[in-house]
Amino acid sequence: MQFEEFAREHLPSLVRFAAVLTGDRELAQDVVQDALVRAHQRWRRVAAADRPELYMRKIIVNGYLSWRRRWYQRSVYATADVTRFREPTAPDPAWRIADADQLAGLLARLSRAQRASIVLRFYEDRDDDEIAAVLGCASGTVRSHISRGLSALRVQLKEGKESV
Amino acid sequence: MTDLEQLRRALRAQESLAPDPGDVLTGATRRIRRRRTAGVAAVTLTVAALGVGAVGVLGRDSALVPPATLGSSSSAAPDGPSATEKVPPAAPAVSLEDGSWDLLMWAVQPHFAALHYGQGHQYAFEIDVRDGTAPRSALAAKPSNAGQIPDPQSVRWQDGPDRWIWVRTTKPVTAADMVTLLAKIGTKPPVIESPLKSVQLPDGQKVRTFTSEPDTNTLALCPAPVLGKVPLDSGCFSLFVSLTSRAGTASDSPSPQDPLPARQRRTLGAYTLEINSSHANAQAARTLLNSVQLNR
Repeated sequence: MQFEEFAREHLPSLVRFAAVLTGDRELAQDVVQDALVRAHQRWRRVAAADRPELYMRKIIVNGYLSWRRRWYQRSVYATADVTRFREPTAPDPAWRIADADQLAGLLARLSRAQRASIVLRFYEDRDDDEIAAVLGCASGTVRSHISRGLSALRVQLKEGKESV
Repeated sequence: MTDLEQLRRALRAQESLAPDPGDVLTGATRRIRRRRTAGVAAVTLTVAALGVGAVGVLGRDSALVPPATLGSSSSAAPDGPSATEKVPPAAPAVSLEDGSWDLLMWAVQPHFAALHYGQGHQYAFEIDVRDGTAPRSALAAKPSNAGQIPDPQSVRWQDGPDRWIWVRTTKPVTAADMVTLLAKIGTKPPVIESPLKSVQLPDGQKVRTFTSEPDTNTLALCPAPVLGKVPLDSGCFSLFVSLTSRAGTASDSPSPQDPLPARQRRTLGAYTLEINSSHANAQAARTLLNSVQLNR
């Protein structure tokens, strides 16, 4: 498979994955672009992988995990998610949406490894071994990330609801 | 409903943040082309000279149109090495003229402008203006009747030969509501009384991003040849102006990958100015920081 062919076929799912992973449109665009450039540089290796689409997710996640740009977060405030303007105490029937937004906000406060693990498990339905391959860690570490991440979310959700 | 179902739904909701795959591929292709050009440039001095020229041409083609392209006509700045770019740049020549929506911020980048509105602290309305050709799913022109709109909360159309607009809202509007709102989008530049009055740009720097909010400005500057480079090059600067009470949230130390690890701060009245740069550019960043003047 050629790079261009792969990009056409898989890019839509990769940008969605990156958006869920990062919670930020511009950052998602950056990490996917960066991943594509990296993949192009070593395309033979990517194409030869058992599952190139998983390999691409590994590149994206690595980029996300290592990418820390305070200024960038500010710069892209302009084009950030419009849903963040929703009022968290909005009355029914917007309550469910507000809950989802609140949860998205809490996700953003997890460690990046925890968030990546949770996105891969509960958005992409990947198993422990696949997540471990993407994150480059042991399956036990994946389970730890997910367990701690979920625990943190539940604690924070509980605190959030009590404070509303 | 279980927590996990709620979590899955929240994650799926984030899909709406996905960038346009075409935009992503275009940006990646541009970078790949630059790398190829740079690679060729390394072969011989002769080719290197051509390569540098080619990089410059690519830069001008792809990213060097100043934000004024999308701004009001009075802001059009000459594009050349001796040009003095206007900072803050002019607001984009587009706005929603509807008193029930409050303008929260506007932003400009090369080839891109955005405006965000809020209504009752509950709903958002966002206008993106981009240079170029709209995605194929976009409408050929601004819709004038509800039947043209398949998704009332997200409408894209070609607004001219080299410009398209994307309007989104979180408000549950009907197609007819959206047509009414779209009719209120005009060419009057938005007005926000933001703090940044002026700043002295280092030689060769161009505006990569500027955002204007009532108490906040962000300004990213880059050398012209890397203006469209993602992420920012280490030759770039990032200035953040905010009320002092809002500053100081980033106390963590920079990672080795951070292209702008040197952070300097200055307080000016009620505001804190923070600039990020490479360590090599720290002195220039300090000069830039000291040149800032505020409106209040």
